Amino acid sequence: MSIQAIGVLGVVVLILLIFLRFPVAVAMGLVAFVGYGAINGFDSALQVMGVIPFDLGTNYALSQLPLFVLMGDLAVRSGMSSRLYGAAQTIFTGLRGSQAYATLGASAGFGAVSGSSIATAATMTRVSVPPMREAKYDDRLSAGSIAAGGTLGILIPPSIALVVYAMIAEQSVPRLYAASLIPGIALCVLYCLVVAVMLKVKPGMAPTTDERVGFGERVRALGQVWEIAILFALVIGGLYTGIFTATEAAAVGAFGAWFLGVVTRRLTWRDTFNGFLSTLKTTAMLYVILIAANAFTYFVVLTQIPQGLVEMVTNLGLGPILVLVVIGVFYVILGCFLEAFGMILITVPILLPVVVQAGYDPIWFGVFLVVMIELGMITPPVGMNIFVMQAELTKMKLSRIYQAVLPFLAAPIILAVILILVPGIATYLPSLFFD
Amino acid sequence: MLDRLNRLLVLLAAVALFVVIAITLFDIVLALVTGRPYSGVYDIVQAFLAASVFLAMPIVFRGETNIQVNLIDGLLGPKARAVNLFIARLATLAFMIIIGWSEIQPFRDTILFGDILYETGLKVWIIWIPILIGTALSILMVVTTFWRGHQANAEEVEV
Repeated sequence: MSIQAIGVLGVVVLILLIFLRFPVAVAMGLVAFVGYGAINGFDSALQVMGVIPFDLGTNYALSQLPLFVLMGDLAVRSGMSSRLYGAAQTIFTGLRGSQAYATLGASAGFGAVSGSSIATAATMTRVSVPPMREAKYDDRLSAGSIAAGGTLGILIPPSIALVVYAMIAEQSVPRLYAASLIPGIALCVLYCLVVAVMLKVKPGMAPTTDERVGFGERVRALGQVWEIAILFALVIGGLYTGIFTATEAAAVGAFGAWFLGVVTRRLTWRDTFNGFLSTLKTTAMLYVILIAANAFTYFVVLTQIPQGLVEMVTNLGLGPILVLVVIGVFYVILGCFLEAFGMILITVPILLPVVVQAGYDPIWFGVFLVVMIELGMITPPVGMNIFVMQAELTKMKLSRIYQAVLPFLAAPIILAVILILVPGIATYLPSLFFD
Repeated sequence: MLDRLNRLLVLLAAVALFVVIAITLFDIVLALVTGRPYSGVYDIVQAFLAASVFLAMPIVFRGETNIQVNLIDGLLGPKARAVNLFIARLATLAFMIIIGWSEIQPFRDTILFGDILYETGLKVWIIWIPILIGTALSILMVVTTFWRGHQANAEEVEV
């Protein structure tokens, strides 16, 4: 059997094992070990596996991972998300569907301190469902806006998914964070447009409101989110201006979230400890998968699958845009079955060389990939945000949530098309800040 | 007993993570005040990061909270589900044993060659200790899942 055939077989077995409910990390690690061993011998495979835990465990750049997770966690525990929602609600008062817009706005704002989609969706479900139900919003509109809004957490910086991508693709985190800002805001606007269209077609989904709020009050409402504004300015501003490295920015963010929570008396010592605990569990889980993914990358590189794919695409003579469209469709299908980190870790080592060969910037691809992942997070049958929502809304059927989310799928698809046609929306800020 | 052990490990991991934050902030402040960063911050962050990650790893395996894609549960009967879960746990055990086994040689090498970190002179084998402890206890936690029965993702240990 040729090396490339072993590689292809390995990928097929990996997908099969994942569908058979093996933990993603275990499936990747075992396929990598057996595949690498089959090609280079098992002594060599053991040597490769042996250095990975140490290399990753002591990787300075990866220290930002737990720190950004902690920052988001402490922000939730100190109630920043509720105040954010309150402020967004005031700002959108008077519009039909104001609470749906507020959910999306608050999700975007929360994404600025939390790097996780799942955390954003879970938090926003708790914060915005009760008032939306009380106001007699159609469940489909509320569930759709929460699940979709949750995806903003991994596109608006900081983003844990982008840190993981940076590690696998060997790219700069600050550049990725600069690249994802405009697409993140654009996606939020697109989601709002989806709500507007839904309400145009079915106005009964949201109650009418004759409540009016003056301009001054709307501006004052922004004052409620001063902690998030400070954190974002400090962390992302510090990164963009080059004052902090990514790890330093993450440490400042984690400390800042804790400090603001403590001085405003919204964070207790127990909250702090629970925040650390939850962060450590998340980080350890991510590391298990990173270790396996690293081994899988060694295997993929050994099998020369990426080179084979590059050759195949070159021989097919597809134009760069067509290559991207094919990759995009592939991600849409994959997103139906794989969760975010699995998608990044399995596909990046294989597809990044193809994308680079097609003339696209790896930083741009990181943003494109995250948009595709966002789509995957709300598409059936494996939509992590939807699972998270269902865990919070036990009385709502999964099928109904899927139905609610369907119209919102248009937004990331449109954004992906815009990204392909106008790559500058992702590459402009990195070149402005760092070149 | 196992829960107490996990509680202790997570406490140690939390302290290690706190050190990562504290030393990074100390470095920023020092650089602002004196214009010179603190030499050794990389080494300390690296060492404590490894400790925080690996000491927290056993609790992940104890709670079986590794990411899984659950598509087939609805299609399987209770017996098939139990077999499926057993095989997945067996695979997890195999994976962790491979990781643990493979870590032994590089650990031995660091002792044999007397590897040290560049800035602080910290002996590398010291960093390996929490990595090995975390891996070994993760294997133990996977083994304990076999006694848990058919229920996947059982309640996580409260700390």
